[in-house]
Amino acid sequence: MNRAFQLDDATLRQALLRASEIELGFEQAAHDHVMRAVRATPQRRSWLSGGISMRPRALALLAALTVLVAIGGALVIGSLLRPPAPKPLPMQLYHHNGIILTLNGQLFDVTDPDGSPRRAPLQVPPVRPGTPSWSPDGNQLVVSGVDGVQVGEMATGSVHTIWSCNGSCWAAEWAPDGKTIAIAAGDRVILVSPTGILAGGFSLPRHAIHALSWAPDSQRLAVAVDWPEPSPPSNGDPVSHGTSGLYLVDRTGTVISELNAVSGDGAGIEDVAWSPDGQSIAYIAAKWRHRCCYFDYSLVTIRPDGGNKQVLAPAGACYCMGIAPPGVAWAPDGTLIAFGDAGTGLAVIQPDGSGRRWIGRNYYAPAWRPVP
Amino acid sequence: MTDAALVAADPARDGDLVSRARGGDADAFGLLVNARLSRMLRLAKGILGNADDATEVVQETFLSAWVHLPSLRDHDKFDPWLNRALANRCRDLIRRRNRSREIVLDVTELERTGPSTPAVGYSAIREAFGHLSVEHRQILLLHHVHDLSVAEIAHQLGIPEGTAKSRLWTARRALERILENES
Repeated sequence: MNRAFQLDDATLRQALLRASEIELGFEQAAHDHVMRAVRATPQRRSWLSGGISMRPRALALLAALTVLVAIGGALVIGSLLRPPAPKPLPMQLYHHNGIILTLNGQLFDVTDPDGSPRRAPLQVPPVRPGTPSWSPDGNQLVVSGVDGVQVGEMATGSVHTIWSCNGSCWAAEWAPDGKTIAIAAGDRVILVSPTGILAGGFSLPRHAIHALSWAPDSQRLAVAVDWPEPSPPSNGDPVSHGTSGLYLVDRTGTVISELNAVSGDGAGIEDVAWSPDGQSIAYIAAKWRHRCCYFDYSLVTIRPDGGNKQVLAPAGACYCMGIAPPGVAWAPDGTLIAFGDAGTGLAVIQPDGSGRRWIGRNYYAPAWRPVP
Repeated sequence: MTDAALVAADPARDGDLVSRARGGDADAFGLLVNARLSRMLRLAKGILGNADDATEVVQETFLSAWVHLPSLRDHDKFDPWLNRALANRCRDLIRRRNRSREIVLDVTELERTGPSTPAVGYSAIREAFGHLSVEHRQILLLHHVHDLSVAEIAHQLGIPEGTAKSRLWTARRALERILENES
């Protein structure tokens, strides 16, 4: 084939070399930045922790073809059944709810729930980055990370470590009564006062507790757990198949019920949030689209008694290796749910599934601040 | 040391480092980062055309690689996994940038264009390069800037050599076509 225009290698190389140049000092600064963040961020150990193998090429091709067919079908059906676009919610409905904090690498992002581009005038205390949770009055922030659990005072900016973890504290949640903070650490839940005095705890042996949320009565907890131990491989897939589920437990660790919201190969629960009125539990469910590791996420709500399970909205899909999973948080007045969409970012939606609206870029570990 | 030398450096040692990092050893992960940071930064800068964006994307890629490393079983797939995550993040950033109609100009690039530039100017090549897909930008950079052979590119991207060859050729041709149309 004749090529009418040919670019010589030397010119192309020079152009690309210039375009790729990094100034002196950038590399060291970036290295320091990455390592600071790495040391402050716990690794995610979920039902995939047994590891994955890259699938054979044939399987990948088959999966790709199936996805294409499914997308084509969905487009055709969607064009026939597409509902009218939801009307945007009135601005004041968002604005009175405070602000949302999300984790963005080693920084926190502050987002106005009304979706406006301006940043809320909030100074976050210099806590080590990790999964955040607000005190019920919105005046303090608890953050769990690899080095322990810290509480930051919004008024003064002071920070103190209330609990040291030998390993990772994967989550910390402030109870609605303001008196207790629950810390998820491996297979244990540790209950401490806001000043760090041990108040109780329990373990769920052989389970990895990676997300939890208090009921409004501060007596019960919803905990998302993984079974990290591999079950026998199914379908010849060498991947270790754990399952993931949702338990309701009391403060002593007695299991009240097993909602068993998600189970099966490649299924998991990424985050959980109990509604302020206690009538609903929202969580982010993950499911392999076919086999490892293209995930479909969805926002699901379920009653604490296990009834009325509803998939409220899709929460994006991605080849999610190396991508932080979406999180979920209720507005303090219960009128909205903030949730991550792996495709587009942070969104809010009404508890009945209407009024979905994109409000920000980062979707990892949202924490909605009550208006002080 | 060339990038080719870097990627060929002791796979057994890298496998051991990945294994230790999977177990939570941040120092081992630091060694993995150290060996790849320069290449990743230059790759991202080449793809995105902006040093700040490149730094942000590379930092996010390494951090989420650390967070999700326990999910990776095949140690020798670490580099393909990392490169794919970097490409995905670059693509996301470009989409967001296009959505917000943000135009990023690299001042140093503008300053360098002048009488000494060849018939097809570097800035013209850069502009045309910016119209390519992220995959095409990535493979051209790996080959022409990082001096990787087709086999090494195939390893880095986790694709067969034949695919690497055809993608490289297609990328080069796509770039030439854009330049042809613009001239």
